[in-house]
Amino acid sequence: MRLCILVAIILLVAPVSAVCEGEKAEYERAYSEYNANPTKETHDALSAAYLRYVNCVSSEEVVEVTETATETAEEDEIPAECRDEFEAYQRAFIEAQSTYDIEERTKKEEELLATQTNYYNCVYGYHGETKGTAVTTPEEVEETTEKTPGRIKEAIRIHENLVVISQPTDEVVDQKFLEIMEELEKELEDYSQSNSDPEVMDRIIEAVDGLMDREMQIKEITANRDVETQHLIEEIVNSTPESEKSLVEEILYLALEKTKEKAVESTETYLKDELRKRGYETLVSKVEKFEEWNSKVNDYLSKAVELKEFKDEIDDISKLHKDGEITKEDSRILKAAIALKKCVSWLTSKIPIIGDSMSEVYTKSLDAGIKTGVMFAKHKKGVNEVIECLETNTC
Amino acid sequence: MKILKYLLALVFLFVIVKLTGFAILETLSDYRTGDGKETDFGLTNNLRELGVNVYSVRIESNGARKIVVDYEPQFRGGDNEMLMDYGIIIGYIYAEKDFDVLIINNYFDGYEVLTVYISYSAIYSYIHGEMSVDDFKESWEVYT
Repeated sequence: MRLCILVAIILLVAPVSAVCEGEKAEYERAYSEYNANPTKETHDALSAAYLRYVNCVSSEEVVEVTETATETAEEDEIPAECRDEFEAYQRAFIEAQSTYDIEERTKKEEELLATQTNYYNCVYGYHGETKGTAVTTPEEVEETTEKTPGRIKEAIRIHENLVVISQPTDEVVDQKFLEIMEELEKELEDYSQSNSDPEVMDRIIEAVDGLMDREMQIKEITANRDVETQHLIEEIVNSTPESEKSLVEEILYLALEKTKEKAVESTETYLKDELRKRGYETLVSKVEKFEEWNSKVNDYLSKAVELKEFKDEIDDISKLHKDGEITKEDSRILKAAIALKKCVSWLTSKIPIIGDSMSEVYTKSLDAGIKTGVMFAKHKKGVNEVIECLETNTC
Repeated sequence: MKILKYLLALVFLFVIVKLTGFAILETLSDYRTGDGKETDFGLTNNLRELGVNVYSVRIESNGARKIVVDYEPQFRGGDNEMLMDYGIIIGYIYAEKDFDVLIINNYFDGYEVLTVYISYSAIYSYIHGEMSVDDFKESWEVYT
């Protein structure tokens, strides 16, 4: 009897730990190895271990569903006619979860979408014949939707020490910027009054000066770009024998286009190898230098576009100072505020919860997560039901 | 008479052992803080098992039924991992618990920087295809 109680307690305390223990341990080991050394090999090992674990967990779930086929309500939701479609959908879902590689995942998610559509088409066709049996009525849905938000909003508003911001998220971010600006203005007053701890502000102003210097460099490089490019191309072409000129010109053309098309890279490598075989090592190194330089210029150009708005704001402040509307100190602090705003903007754009509208990748990630969560909860419920029926001997 | 004493002592001992076992099991499954807040270790562990870096999941029931999740993204799968984690938290808790609002406290480098409120009704509407993903995200109340 005591032994039975002990077994029951152990089963209660560790309901799922006995299931897929080996696969789970292997998955955890692969995960820690990947974290310690994130290479392609450890990534692949992690993906494989994860797939094995999910497959194992999933097969346990399938066994349970099959065993309790006549009893569970969940089973009733999958019509017998759609069993194949459901299993294909389930397999595709597990496959889609098995990789962190975005490209591979996108492919697998397309397959998942196709199997999902097949399954839904099958289910909706089935429910169409038995409409009205176990579906929530529109009145019930409406009732839940109307009552709940009122309670939530009320509860949130009275929540201690919390300010609820109901505006769209972009407005929230803008409001945060305004707060930062206000704080900086206050700091300006303190700064001009005491001038005791100028270190922090000086560092910010130094950073702004650095950005301005960089802006100037970009302008110079942009201005000289065409001249220098022409000069370099002439130098290369002039040092090339007549018979190879067309080949070299083609390489230069490809080098200029490199940032636009990845496919060009392999062709370019081929052409360079051809030149090396014919003994033009120096020429190839010059071309490579040109490529590197061109790539840097393109980086600067893209940064310049990003910084244009920033620069306009800085110019406006400089103009105010020149017109005598604000002091030099005001001008410096406002410039610092704009730099800070830029930093905050960059940081918040990195947080997808606050960032702009949902991209396709984010939406798919969210959906995949929701489906995983729901499926996992169902799986746990299924396992617990099996344990309960084993305990009560009612299986 | 002696036998009766032994029997009584044995029964008493058995009751104590059972009560202690029950108390241990209770402590393992739920940690109660005593002020209407209750840490759910089961939910916490299950979410962690799914790879979501959750510190704790608490159930609060003063007024609305609130589920509070302390979470820190790890970005090991890129920026979209955070949305995937959000999905897992939403989907799992939606399927597992009855609640009015889900509150996700976001930590970065150990500091709490962002709190997101998501209502049950919005989750229900989105999962049942009654709401677009943009509307769903717009329904989230964000406190920074």
